Amino acid sequence: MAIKISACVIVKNEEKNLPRWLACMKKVADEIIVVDTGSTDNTVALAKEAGASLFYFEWINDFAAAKNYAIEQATGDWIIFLDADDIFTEGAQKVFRQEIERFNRDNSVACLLCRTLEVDADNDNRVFTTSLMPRIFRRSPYIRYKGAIHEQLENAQGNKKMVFAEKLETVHTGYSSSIVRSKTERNLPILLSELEKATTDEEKNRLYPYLMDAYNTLGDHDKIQLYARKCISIGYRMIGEPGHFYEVMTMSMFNAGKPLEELLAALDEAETAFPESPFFPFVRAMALEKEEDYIGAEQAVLHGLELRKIVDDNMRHGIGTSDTSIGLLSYAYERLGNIYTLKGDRGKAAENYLLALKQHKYQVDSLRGLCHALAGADDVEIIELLNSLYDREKDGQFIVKSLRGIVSGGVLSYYGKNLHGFEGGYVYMARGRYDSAGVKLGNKYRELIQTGLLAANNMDEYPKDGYLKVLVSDEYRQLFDQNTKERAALQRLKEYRVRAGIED
Amino acid sequence: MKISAVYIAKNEAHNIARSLESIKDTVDELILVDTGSTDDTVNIFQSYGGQVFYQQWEDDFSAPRNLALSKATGDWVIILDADESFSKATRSNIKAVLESCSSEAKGLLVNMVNYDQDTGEALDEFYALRIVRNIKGLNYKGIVHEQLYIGEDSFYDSQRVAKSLLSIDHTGYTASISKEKNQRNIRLMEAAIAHGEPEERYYTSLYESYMALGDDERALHYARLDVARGRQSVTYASRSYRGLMRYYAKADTMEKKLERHKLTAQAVKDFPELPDFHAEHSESLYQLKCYREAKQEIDLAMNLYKDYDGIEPCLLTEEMIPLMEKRQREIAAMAEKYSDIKISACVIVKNEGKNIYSWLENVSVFADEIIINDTGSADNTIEIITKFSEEKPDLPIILLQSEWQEDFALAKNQCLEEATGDWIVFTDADELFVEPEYVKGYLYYLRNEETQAFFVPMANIEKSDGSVINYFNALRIFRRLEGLHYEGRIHESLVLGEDEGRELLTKSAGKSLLINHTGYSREISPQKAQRNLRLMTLDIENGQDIRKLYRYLAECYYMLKDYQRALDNALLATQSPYQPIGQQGDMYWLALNAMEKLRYASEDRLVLADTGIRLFPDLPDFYARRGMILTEIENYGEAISLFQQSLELLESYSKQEVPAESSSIMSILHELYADLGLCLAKIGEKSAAEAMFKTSLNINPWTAKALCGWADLYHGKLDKDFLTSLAEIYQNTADYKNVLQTIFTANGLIELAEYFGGEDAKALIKVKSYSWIYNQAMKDIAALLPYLYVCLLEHYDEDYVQMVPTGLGNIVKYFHGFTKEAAVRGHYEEYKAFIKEIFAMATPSTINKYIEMLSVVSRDDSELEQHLIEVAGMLLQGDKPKLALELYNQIPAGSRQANEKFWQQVGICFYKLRQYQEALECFQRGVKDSKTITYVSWCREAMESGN
Repeated sequence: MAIKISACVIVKNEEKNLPRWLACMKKVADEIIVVDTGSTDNTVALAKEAGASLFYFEWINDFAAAKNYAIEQATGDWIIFLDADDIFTEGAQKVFRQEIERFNRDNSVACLLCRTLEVDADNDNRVFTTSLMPRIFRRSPYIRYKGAIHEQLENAQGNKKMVFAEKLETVHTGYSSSIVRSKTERNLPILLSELEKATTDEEKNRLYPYLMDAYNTLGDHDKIQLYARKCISIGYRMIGEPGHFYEVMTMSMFNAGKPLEELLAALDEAETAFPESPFFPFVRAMALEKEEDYIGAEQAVLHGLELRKIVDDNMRHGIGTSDTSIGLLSYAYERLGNIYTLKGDRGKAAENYLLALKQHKYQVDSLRGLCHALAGADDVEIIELLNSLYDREKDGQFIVKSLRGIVSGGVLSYYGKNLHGFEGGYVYMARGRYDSAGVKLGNKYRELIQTGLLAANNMDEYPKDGYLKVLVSDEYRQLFDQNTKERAALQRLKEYRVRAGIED
Repeated sequence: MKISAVYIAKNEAHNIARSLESIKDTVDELILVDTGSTDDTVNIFQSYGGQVFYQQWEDDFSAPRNLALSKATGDWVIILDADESFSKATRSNIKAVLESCSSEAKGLLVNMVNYDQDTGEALDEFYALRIVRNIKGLNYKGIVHEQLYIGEDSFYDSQRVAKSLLSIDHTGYTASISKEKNQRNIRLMEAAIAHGEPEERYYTSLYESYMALGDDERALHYARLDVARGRQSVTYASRSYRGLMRYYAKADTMEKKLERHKLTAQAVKDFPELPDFHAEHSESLYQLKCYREAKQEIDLAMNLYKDYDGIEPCLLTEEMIPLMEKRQREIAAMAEKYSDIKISACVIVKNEGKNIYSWLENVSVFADEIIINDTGSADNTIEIITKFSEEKPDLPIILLQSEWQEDFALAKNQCLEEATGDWIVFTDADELFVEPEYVKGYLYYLRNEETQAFFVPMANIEKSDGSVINYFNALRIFRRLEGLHYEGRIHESLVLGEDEGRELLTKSAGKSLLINHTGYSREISPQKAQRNLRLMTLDIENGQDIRKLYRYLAECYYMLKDYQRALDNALLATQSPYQPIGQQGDMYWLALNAMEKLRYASEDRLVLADTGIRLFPDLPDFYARRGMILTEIENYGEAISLFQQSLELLESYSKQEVPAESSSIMSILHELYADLGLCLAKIGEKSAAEAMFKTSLNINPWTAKALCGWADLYHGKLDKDFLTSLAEIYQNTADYKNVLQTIFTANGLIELAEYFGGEDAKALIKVKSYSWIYNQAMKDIAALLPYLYVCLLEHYDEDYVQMVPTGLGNIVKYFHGFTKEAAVRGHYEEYKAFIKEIFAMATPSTINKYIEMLSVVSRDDSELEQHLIEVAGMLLQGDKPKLALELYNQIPAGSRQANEKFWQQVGICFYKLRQYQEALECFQRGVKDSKTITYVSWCREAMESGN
């Protein structure tokens, strides 16, 4: 008999994410359960349209409760529980059914762990970390969520296995920088109030990790390091991310520009505690490179890469929980690229830049470094190489913007072929046609000045930052105050905005 | 030998028998194409044993003749009309003549005597093609005055038969063809031409018909066209020439005399054997006081007359001879008194391979000697001159080869030294007389005047299509006088003797001596402007009167964008005693342009415009400018009336063939219409405004003012009619959408910009929050500005330079030589701001030139050293170790700046240049940090692996 699969989700104002989630679940599930906790946007209508079973649950600041309510509405044999901003990869969708059938046959398995690729949608979908979480489980009265915030799945019976479903990967955009920020801004007050209310050490200790995470999002380095230290001294280990606190602390120290000796000391400590983690050697490399200790930096990266080989291996076998150094990997390769460039070893430099780009193809410095290392190669060769990474149509603008000044006119022309905008100017420059380039760039400049001035004149308060003075000549700005074609242009722009309904 | 005779006829019963009688014993075959006889013509013909064919008469003489020819089967064909018959005396010679004529002759020209139908008197006679071999391709063309052709070619290889052997009497000739018949002929010919027949075929006939009708103008029009073709291989080809000569015989003005001379010169060229024409030519020359040549011609005429026996009829008669002999004596007397005038044509050249041949051809028409000073051509100029000289061995050509000394006067004076003529014609290689034939006549005619030099009108010609850009006057022809020479390295002028104040007696020549100047460029290049400035400065230092040069200084400074100096000099020029004829308005115009560039207040500009109006009330120019200024200050009503005045004046100005005063209005006509449109729009005259905008765009399709003014009529919206009109205007212009998009974007017309751009042209403007827009705009500008800066260093663009922050703008201007050091001294921060982008994207020569500017932007030596090191560091970062090293090398060894950090940088340079030993030495002296340790280790590694 065929297995019935239910997909559950709790939502509140998810009109942006829900369509994608619904589309994915339609492909893999037989039943879709959407529990709305108080949407005021189009969420409910979208769910209805898609034919989901819609339920309401009053929000009581308790994620677990809402999720459990959803589970109780499901009628399938297996339940998928992904957030609205979390969907299975294409590859996973293709093999989903078979995989579930396979796991279903083993009665001792009750829950599946899935690797989630955390991507930053605000940063070209860069994968900054992966995590391993239970996402799919048998429907059973014993398997429920616990915890108002950062809820965990628990099996009350405790006798069933949780296994790693390697092929069922998901992509989660929820920790994209902007989203996290707003989530944190929402959560921090709650945490701080709980901290105040806490009376016992235990209660306080429980909150420290979340506080550290919150401040990590907000970039408050002193607080980050403070709470990180607290967590370390308590001896916490996060499930799935053992070195998490050291990671956060050392990154924070690096970003805050702490003196090298302090940072190195912290890294020593971290590496002693977690010698298998590639994360710390990578941070060490970044710090040493900054201090221009290139040899030290090189060694650190290579060490980190060695450790990653092992992590990679483990992951393939479903061992190991999270891969936090993956986010730093592209930077690590880039550091090597930089060092070999300085050293003059172009071949090695190119190799490493390429590896960096394979991790994250929109890392501009690596792309520039790669092409710089390949200077002198045939245009055709370079284009072939770039085409293995990029799509000419989609990425044309990005390539032109990134590679101006580095590659030949021929290469830029190839990618800039369909660029209508002012970026075409960069292509002209590369081809030595400075007059045409000047016109394109000059016209865009004029456009931006007009737009900027219009904005400045219409803002609540005229900007005091003085940028206009620095970026545009006084002579030209004065034209906008006299009866000139420049002033006429500004008037037209304003009228346009009123006409188009952008303004009232 | 079989002989056929062909006729066409309509109701010729009374004539045809006589004709047939004259040939019945000679011919074997008689063919008639009857075109509708109602009398006995056909019967009579048949009674002589002839065949008759029929063809409807369609007002076309060729058709029935061609039909007749096609029916002839003889070896020879005699073509006769019903009223033509071989004379009694000669009719029996026909066969003998045919038998004995040369086998190459394809046709025979037989003398035909015209007898007046009414009086029987013999009027005139000429040779007509009446007997032809029956060869393939014989056909007549022309509905009237039809001519015989072989295929598509005019009949050729015809021979003349002596009058005594054969003669035809034409008895049906009427001296007076009726008016109706002439009108009918004209109608028919014009119809035939409209139908596709070549007009040329009928030139002569049209001339005659119009002449008969008394329409002289049209008659002469066709006569001129006919003469322009040259001599035609038809009999009596001289008709049109004679007609024109009769007309010019009354020539009283010099212009007419010059034209007459041109005509008769061509006539004797085309008919060298005809004595009448030489007599005419002699008259023309006499009228122009060319006595010697006139004598030659009259003598020649008399000689040719004695034995004349040419095909072309000579209309001189015995009665005329005594008169002619009298004339001959008169001319001889004058020729004794007045010698020939010798003309020297001079030119200085350098690399004029493209122009020199045409120049030589042009002047050889009138010059008696040519003197060329080549100042160092590297192309084929000299070859061409040499070749020309060989082709014209009778024309003395002196070729001087000198070295260019940046001194136009010097080079020209070298020519003058070699000249031996009475008059000198000194032009440039790209200046050609429109009618070179008039030059000689002109100078002869005015031989008794005291004028010493002539200003001739010059037309600046657009090379691409030959249209006239504008006119001016220049001194090009002068007597060879003692002490007359050029002065001035540049903008050289003629002076008489060494003392000041001895002025040349000059006169303006009329449009007969118009010169076309093809080498005109609207603007001189900046390099040329620099050179000219330099030369003028030298001249002034050497004593040249600066007042002569103000206008040229103004033009140079304007070109070099030094608008203040341009303005000052232009105003001085207007006050100078040296005013060029017909070009005084130029300086006011230039002054106004300079004032606009300098953003002078409207009141000041109005003063100048008004002066222009006052001084040049017939020029449309300054009314237009005033109107444009008034538009600026929103005085729309007055502006409109000024524009209208200007346009009216322009109309009458354009009617002048060679205007007296040069005008610059054509260059801004599109702006005029655009402004006029703007004014009309402002006073509510929408449709009138629209018409003006359309006119403006028809002159210059990219007039932004017009496009935007028009768009404003529709409040920037995408109105259907507006869009349709635009599509019409640009339908034949490639790539117009891009240009329109740019214009609309630059002027705030978003919907239109998107419509023509196809994509989301301006996403930023659509964002709701102004503060967001502001921030993003500032970010984007900051990202773009460095690159624009690089572009401006490579290629100067006044508009964009004006927009960038002043400090940067000054550096760009200084870089291109448009401003002084003082403007950039000490401005190192701005200089440094975008230096990375310069190193990454500019050309090597620009980078070098920019680096050289360091000494100017640094205030003193110690600052300079600091800056050198900083910039060197940036070069090193930008992967240019060689250049960096060059800068480092400029730091003196003992300098304070040559510290440990310095040596580390130098060491890295050497490392990058693979000079490891030197690198290590530097690192020894360098700072001891991890960076050094790294590099030292890398050096050693490289040296070990044998690099």
